[in-house]
Amino acid sequence: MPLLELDDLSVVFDGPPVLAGVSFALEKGERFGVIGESGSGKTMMALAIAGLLPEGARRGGAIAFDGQRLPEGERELARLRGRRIAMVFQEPLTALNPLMRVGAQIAEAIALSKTNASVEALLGEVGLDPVHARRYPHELSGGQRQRIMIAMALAGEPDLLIADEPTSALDLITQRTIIDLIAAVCDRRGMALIFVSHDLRAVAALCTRVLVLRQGAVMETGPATDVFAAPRAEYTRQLIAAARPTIGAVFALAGAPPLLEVRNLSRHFRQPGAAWFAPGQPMAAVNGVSFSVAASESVAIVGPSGCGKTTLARIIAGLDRATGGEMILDAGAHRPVHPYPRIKSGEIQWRGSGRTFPTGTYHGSNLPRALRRDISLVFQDPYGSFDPRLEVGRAVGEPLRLERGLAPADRLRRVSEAVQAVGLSPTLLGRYPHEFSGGQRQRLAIARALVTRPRLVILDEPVSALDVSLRGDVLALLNRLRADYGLAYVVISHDLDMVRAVSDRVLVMEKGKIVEEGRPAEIFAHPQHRLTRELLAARLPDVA
Amino acid sequence: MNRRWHPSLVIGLVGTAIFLALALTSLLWTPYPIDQIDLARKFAGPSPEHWLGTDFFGRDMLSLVMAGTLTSFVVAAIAVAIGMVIGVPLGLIAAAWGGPVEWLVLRVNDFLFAFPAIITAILITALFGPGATNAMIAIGIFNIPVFARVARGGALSLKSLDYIGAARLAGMGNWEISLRHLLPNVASLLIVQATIQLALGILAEAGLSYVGLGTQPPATSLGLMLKDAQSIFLLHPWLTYVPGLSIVLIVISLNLAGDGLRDMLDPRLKREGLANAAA
Repeated sequence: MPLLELDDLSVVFDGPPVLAGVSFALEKGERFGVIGESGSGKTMMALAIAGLLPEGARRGGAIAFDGQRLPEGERELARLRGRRIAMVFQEPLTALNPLMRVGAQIAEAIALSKTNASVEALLGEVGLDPVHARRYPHELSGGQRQRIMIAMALAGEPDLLIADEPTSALDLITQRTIIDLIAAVCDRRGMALIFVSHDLRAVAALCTRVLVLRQGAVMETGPATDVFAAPRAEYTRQLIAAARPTIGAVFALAGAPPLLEVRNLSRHFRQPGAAWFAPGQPMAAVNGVSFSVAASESVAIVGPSGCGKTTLARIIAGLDRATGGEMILDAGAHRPVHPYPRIKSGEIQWRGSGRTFPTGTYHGSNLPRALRRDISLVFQDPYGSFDPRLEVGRAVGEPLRLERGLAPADRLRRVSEAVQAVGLSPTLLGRYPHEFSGGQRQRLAIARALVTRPRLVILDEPVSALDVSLRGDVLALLNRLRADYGLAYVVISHDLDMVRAVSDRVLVMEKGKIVEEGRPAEIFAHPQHRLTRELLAARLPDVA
Repeated sequence: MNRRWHPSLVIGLVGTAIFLALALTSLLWTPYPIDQIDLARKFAGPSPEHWLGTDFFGRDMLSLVMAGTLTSFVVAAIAVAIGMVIGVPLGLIAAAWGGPVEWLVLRVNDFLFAFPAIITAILITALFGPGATNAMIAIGIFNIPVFARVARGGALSLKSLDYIGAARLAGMGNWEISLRHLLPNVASLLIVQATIQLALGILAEAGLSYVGLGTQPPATSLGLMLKDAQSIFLLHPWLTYVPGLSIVLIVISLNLAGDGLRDMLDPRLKREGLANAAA
């Protein structure tokens, strides 16, 4: 008898169903993966199995757990959830009570499920030192919090663990350790697992059977090896192609002049001390970083979360101010060059003699106004980077205020040029951000970054907030734009495969310092520093 | 996006609209002039000629309620306008500039909060004498820190968003960012707060008139009607019921409308929230 059986499960709010016709059976101890992108209904499926559907949702079809229909009453459901079905959510910070020590929260889970597990044993099982029991959630790292969540889920000795995107809020190294932990725990306890994720490689590493969901409908289901090796659905093929790392063309840039020089840059944050007379030790987010970016070069800065890479990006873009060191934009002073050099056969052709670029030393937010148009930034989150009450046309044209005396007609032309360059139609410019998908918004964000015809574009995790199937398109777009316009990129990421697809040179950063530098191929083949080796080791094996 | 009309919003808006219509009608027409004293008809109960009866001067109660509602609305609305015109820029300035500017705005706020409207009104009355204008100013001053807080709070939560960073990169200064990005996005919060402050303003005006610091005869307001009727409450309770119930109904309507507006404008309580949960 299967442990869990779904028969024609559907979930409906007002309007079209968010999930329809899902049927599968899960054996005891089996590890089952549910693959889907945002809006696929995968989270609704997980919530339906746990009886946690939000108000207003109607469930159709049948769910049987251990041969019994899922009870209707909240009391019986709660008992089932405590002892037999456990859940781990995506964001461990919001799933833990910030005012309770984590040990007490685990103890509460044990008390509610009436088992005789101990907090120490559970902490040991998830690989945490018992001293962590006395800590509060904010004192733990993301990976440690997720371990606490898993410990709480294990408290009731469940038969089924549902993990909903448990690793997508974590950086690569931590993601790998959590996936290994889940696999180990399931093996040891013979626990069944439903692993819900958009990440094919994480699913491939954990699960023996998979189900692919798209917009509420099942695309394909079967043993993981079969699905990944010989996908039957077109959609699965697309996902697998998108998950396969691409290797970008590296431009040979002999003699490209240096564009940006970062010299010994530091950013210290004041930290609260014990008292006003005993100030805390300042925290160095960026600590003496030096590097340079040549014109039309793409430099990637890679590191785990908290290594200071985003702070560095914000300082270069002029949003934050360094506390030490300086940056020089265009050290090869006052060269007359055309704004759009063409790259042909690996050689830059500086066409004509356009405007003369000013040169400038700056420390971040004191970037001179005349130079602001030369540097632009593409933000990580395409949802937060557009004002919801401003038409996208106006948002994309916003940076053009840096170019004084631009006639309205020219302004319009520049905006539509930029929008066309990212593959969107200028007829969409009158719409509002919520009418666009995540991928389209990220294209618009890139268009906004291009509209001033910059020479350096800083990309802060440009694809990490996007669905897997869209990432490839955006990366290809970035490579094409660089070739067309001779842009220089500084790419900030924790994702080595993405970095390999778009960069000429990689800087590995740890705790505010650059610890390794090299061409992507060299770094991948012969990593020198411990962190680089860890990052490479944490990559999940390719699917198929 | 289908924005559903919240039932409490409908009830609140309909109630407010009825009283507002009554008040505006009094500008053009009342059943009887409100200053027409006819002692022969005093204390008449509700009748076909006087739907709500007459008071101790023989004035028509319906006409008085209509005119009084107008006074109450005007005083409260102008007080809200004073609060918004001064408070919202203060709040946005505090959020956009931060640092010492923010500290100064917050301390000014605390200072204003420390004086209830009634104390401010007594102060103004002591200086300039009682009157509806002074009540407006007193309630308006009380409204300033309220709007400043709402504007600052809303703007602070927006300030860390990427589109504000993008605007900064586009060379926009604090002023431009405040006007173009912060203000439109906190507008819904401010509208909701305005309905709530309107209700509070009507209550405050009634209170000030009741203690004799607000509207002065021969003009009338709901608070003034209550005050006049209070001394003869045991003999003619009807005269207090009419203005008292009017105040209660107006305030309830405005509060319902405010709650409904907040539910409708707050994206977290709307369908968008469900869409995110489904992701």
